[in-house]
Amino acid sequence: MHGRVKVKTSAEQQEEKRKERQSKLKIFRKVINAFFNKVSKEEYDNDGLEITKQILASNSDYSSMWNYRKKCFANSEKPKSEIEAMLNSELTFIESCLRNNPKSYGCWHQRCFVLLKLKTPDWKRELQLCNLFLQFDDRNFHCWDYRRFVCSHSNHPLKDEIDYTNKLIESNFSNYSSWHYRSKLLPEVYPDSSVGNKIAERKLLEELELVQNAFFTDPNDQSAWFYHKWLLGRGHPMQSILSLHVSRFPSTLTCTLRKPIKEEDCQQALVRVNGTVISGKWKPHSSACYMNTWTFTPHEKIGTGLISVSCQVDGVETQITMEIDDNEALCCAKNTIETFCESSSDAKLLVLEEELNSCRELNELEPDNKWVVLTLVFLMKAIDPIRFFSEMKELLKSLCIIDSKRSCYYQDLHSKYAVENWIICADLQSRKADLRNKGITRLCHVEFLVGLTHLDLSHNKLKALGSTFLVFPWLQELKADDNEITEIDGLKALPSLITLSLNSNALSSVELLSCLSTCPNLQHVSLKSNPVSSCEKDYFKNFPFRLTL
Amino acid sequence: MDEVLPEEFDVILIGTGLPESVLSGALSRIGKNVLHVDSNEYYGGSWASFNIKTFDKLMSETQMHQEDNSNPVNLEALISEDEEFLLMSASQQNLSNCQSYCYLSKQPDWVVATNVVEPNVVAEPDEVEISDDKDSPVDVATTAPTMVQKHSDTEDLSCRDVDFEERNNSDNDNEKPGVSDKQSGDPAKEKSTDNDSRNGQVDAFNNATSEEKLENASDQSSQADLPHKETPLFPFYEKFYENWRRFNLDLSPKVMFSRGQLVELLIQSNVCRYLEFRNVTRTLTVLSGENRLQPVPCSRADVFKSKFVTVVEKRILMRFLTLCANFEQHPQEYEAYKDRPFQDFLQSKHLSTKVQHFIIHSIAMVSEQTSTMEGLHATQKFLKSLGRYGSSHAFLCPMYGVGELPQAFSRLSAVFGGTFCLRRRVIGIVADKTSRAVKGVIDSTGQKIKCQHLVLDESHLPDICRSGFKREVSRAIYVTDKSVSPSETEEVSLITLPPVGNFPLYRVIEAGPLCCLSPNNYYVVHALTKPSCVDENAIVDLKETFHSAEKTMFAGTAAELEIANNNESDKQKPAVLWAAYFNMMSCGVNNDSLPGNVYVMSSPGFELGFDKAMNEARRTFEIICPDEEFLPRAPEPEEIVFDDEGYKSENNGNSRENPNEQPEAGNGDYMETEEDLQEEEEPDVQGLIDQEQGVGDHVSDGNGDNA
Amino acid sequence: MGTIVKDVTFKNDIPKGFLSDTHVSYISTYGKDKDDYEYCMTEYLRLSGIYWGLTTLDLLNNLDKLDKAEIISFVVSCQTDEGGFSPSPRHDCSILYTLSAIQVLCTYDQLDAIDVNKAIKYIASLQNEDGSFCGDVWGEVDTRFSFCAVASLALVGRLWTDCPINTKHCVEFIVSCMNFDGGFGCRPGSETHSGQVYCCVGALSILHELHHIDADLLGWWLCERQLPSGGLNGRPEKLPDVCYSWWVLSSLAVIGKMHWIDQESLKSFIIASQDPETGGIADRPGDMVDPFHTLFGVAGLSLMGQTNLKKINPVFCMPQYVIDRLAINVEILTI
Repeated sequence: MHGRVKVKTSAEQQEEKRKERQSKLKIFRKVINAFFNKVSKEEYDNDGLEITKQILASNSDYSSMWNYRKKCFANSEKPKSEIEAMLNSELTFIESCLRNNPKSYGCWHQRCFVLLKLKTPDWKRELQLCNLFLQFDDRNFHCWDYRRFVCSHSNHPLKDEIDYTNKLIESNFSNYSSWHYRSKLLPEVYPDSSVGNKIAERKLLEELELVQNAFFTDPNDQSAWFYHKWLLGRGHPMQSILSLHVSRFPSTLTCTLRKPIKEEDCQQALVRVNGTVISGKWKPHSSACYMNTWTFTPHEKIGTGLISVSCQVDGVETQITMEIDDNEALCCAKNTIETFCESSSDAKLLVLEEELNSCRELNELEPDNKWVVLTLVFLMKAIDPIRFFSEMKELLKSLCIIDSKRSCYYQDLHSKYAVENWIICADLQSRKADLRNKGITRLCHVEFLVGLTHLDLSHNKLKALGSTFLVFPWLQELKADDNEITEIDGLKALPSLITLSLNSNALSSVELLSCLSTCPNLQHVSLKSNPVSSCEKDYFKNFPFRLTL
Repeated sequence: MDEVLPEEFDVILIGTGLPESVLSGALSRIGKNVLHVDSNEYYGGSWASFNIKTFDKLMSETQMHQEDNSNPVNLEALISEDEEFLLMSASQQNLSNCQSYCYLSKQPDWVVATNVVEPNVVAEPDEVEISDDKDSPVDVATTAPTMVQKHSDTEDLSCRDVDFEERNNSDNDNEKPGVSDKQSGDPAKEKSTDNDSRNGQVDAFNNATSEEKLENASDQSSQADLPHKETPLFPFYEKFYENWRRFNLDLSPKVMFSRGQLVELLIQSNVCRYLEFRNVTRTLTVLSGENRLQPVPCSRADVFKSKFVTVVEKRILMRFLTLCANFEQHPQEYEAYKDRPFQDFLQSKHLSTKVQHFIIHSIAMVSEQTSTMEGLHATQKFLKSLGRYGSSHAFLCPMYGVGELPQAFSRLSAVFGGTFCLRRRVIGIVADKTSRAVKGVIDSTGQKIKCQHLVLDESHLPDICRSGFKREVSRAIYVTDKSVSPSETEEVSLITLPPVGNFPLYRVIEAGPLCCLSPNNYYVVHALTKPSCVDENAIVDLKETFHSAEKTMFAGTAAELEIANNNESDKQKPAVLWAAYFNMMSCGVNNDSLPGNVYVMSSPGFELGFDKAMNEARRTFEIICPDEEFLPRAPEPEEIVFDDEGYKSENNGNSRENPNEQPEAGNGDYMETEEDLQEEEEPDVQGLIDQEQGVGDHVSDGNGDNA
Repeated sequence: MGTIVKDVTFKNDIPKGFLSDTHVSYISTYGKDKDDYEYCMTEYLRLSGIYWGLTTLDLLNNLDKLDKAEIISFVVSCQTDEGGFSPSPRHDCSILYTLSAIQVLCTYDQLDAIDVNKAIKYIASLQNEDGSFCGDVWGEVDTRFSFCAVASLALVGRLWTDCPINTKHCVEFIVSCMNFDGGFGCRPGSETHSGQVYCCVGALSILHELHHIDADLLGWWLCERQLPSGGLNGRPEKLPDVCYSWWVLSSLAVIGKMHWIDQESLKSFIIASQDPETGGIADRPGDMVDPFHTLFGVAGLSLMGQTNLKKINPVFCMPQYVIDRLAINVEILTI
């Protein structure tokens, strides 16, 4: 009646599909065989181009067929002009394939191949194509990559690309791809003159404002928050020597770096006693090929006086110098807030403070938005992690509830900040660390703690003492009472460990303790109120140390 | 015009305004036998659009039709004992206080020498056509519909193509003379309209020019002693009128909510295939205390971009809009304010005064005192429309003016066999004395035509059925030399000027060549306001009424500025080159004296959208044919072709060549898209996209990490 | 007005438990019908398909359901003169299928069935100056290929003893693909993508070079892939997909951050993506199943300690016992 368009039932459609598929399959096989005939006969001609077209038009992942076509253009004895024409028509064909499957690796690579073959590639046209496909789907990473390919080959000004991302972001800012692209473009176009920042501060502040507009307009869009974190956060920390330990009997020199290095880098390190370089051999502290801690055995004995170690890793020169008059001494580099976060100019601090305030307002409006809360934490961390610590701690606590799926992340994040703050304030030279009641779930930055003789981790939330504990050559006393420890496989071959206290933990089986027998000087282990404590005494009798259960 | 019509119709419609035309289309569509007459020589009644000469004429005449009663109809012969006769008023005039002004100076002789050619070029064809429509204007008008009936299909197809192609050219090629003649599809009807109207136009031209001479008299003196300029500030009078045909000036400018009833109806009935649309690209307003138009952040993207609100304001605004989008789900949020003023509610949500202004005046388009419920619904209506066509657009407007809409529906009616008669005046209604049901009408030729139902537009009401005229809307139309707020790309603007002091609220629509409302380099600014005094006889200077609007938007009239000789003050603001002022009247219906089966369609009114008119048409349709479907899809098989045609025109406004190609439009602006694509009968498209997101992403790794 | 979280919601009729047996029958019958449309249409990746199916069955303790001899001879028939492997006979070889071939043979402990040295030469021949790898002779560069190269060489035991490639440059290239979010893309400058993260983290783990990674930053990005449904997506603002339950989860495992996501809800997402009738696992609940997603679903469950599944190695996506037999030890971060 009155000609309303009739809608087919899905059942009909299915049956139709099945029939269609059968016939399709017949044709498919015929074409495939024809194709492989061509290949075996090594005939690279228009005929073959036509055959492959039939398949690729619908299935653009059939890479062998793309390759065949490539060969046709490569081997063809045809005159240059004709090849050029073939290549151009190939571009048209690829475009039609891309319309069917805009995410085909094969298509996009074929296009790169053709473009590079062309004598006079029309890069402008290619950029237009990218615009078209990105308008269709602004997250198509194949097309983004192709765009970068086009730009690099046509020396397309990067500034224009920044403008392009502006355009996309203006029309829809939840576009992770565009923000990502900016993170690559800005450092190129606005390199940072001073140290610390990733991009010139003027631009950095502009970006902060831009991205702030985004997450205030819609705080549930991830892209902006990730980008914001990047603007705040520091890049990788600079390489530096954290500590130097010297003992004269036997003469060894133990040096710990911020970032692990390979042996060949380490052997370059120079040791000077009172200014004169002394020869010797560096050994890694354990078997791994990258290590933070390295031990130097000089060929002659070390005397008293001024000792310095300087080494150069990936172009960065770092050095530490200490006075030694005793038999043994430890020297630790001074740590400040900047050790763990980017230094900020006053101008930047001002902006961050403002942002902190508006984020506080936002948080009042939407107390349950995890992104706002987390960003508050990041901002405080960037402004002054010590001053804001207790507040950060509370915010992270609330995050564990708002966003329970990731509660462990927030706890670990808190643990990191807690340890960092402790390191900033602690006197590491005292070689005693009191990290009790920090509520930490993990112990990070151990490279800063290498020199310790006494470490107390009691009353925390540690779940395991993992391989990170392998790095304590002088650790004599380790306390980790009242944690949630279930594994201690990190407590292997600790050379100086004498007393170990693991009361009130979750150690369940005797097997877990076996690693302890590899600690040569271990004399006393306390395991009060662990599940394992209830085991038969004689399970423990062949341990070389005294056990308190 | 005088040729004899069939004796009887199911329904007779008098007046070709939008509601009548929609109704006419709907009735023909389901096979009702329809006669549609209009005493005017043009389609659209109070909804019509005119080129500028015709408009000048319209303004210059106090009454549209001095229709002679030369051959008085002998009623006695026509009306039997048991019938009563209701005489229609001689005039359907529903405009008052009409004035039009051209502020451009005449071309001095030294210029004439240089470019004589062009005016003639345009003039030529007219004269020809006039002469031949003097011979047989009648035939054209009346044979048109019958002709359509015969080969409606082919007629349709062919002219649609022509039509479409023409329009595309017209966009870039501005020198094409008389492009606006091509505006409505059906060439038959086409010819009729514009021959008729052109006929009028020519007289208009003569009257007008003499008219203008008077109007400009005051300016003449000043221009006389102007220094002889090589490059005058403004085009000369003659130059301006050269492209007179390319103006399309609405009597009742309106915009369509992208999800308003009209748009749904256009898609559903596929009438959209006869039309093209543009997005309203921006919303502007003036904050109290300021004198500068500024963009209103309406969409997610606007809010993000806006430089006028703080980040916190942005959040609060977005929160509020998100709430309004589906406020029904959160009664607790507004219960307390239900019946209190909307403004109180906004305050309770901590919206800054600025943001309150945006929402009340530009988004909800209500007043401070509107009730919260009403405000919420209005806001929601806006948000629903947002993002359907273009992520941050909520409104569409028809190209070539609002007058296109009634024509499009009339055309549908004609295609389905409706009989159309322009310049056919009905002198009265015949009703049954006892039942008081309408029996038919008698037209000026003395023919009595029977019908079961009679549909009238308000202005055709018999005097005794009127409860008295009142001014409904005060209007001003300006032609300017640039946009009220210039930007890189040509914009179509919706502007709200809230009441200041004792000046009223103005709604303003500005559009130009993009919408084919004016030749290139000219803009048309429509201003509406509620009349300060509704008494039809009171003398009001409408220039006064619009004074503050003009002060905000314009630098002044061309004439003033010529004298002022480019003072730097308002260099940015446009100059008014031409202006027209008038009131639109409305008369209440006196139902007691109205016979049964007579339905009165009200005048366009102040409403910005079309919902009122659509409701009226739909309701009337449901009364006349209770169990029929209102404007179902047209049955022709080639519809499928049209379908995506209609589509293109739907989306003409936004740059995308095909709306399917908005996979991410979902986050462009918001949940609508998916649903949308289905409406456009492409459900699988969305499917395809999802698939791509999933498959696309993993096929990639699929081949990759078969590790 | 706001962002709508792209995610799925479960219907009530979703399967509850892990349907081990149905998966066994799904995989073991897959491809029995050589005229099946799907099967024929996927000829261009057959060898990988075999790896997916075979590994799935091994994890399900049903390796014997497959015809070992038939498979090995098929694999052998896929080695080309260049030394690399093609997805099926007559097709062109590429590093992708070369890895698949080696994985299959390692699982069967039958490496000597093929000319290993020729394969190694082929892999080495695909490395570029900058350390990157091409997928085949036609020069497409992608970090996926770096992983294929490193993994293949490790499996054939040629990564540490007379290694034919420049591992230093290989690492440098991978590191040059690192992004602001700590993740990796296909090439320098490419956007981070879970699949690529898996490849790069895996390669660095095999090469014991994980210290290049900012584990906290990357871990954060990875754990944010988890959506309310428990499923994981591959990039921000995308739909969840079972194969990412593998690529994201295993990457997290390697950098010691698996506890940063809610494993219980991820398990239920994978369980919900099973098809009780046909067996097998789909990309998300209610969709069509395929061997590809079946493997990564099962692998994910294994990594999360699902009972009566063989333990999986997070880097090679092969049963751990195979990796142990080959005495390969990959680097795994603990904090």
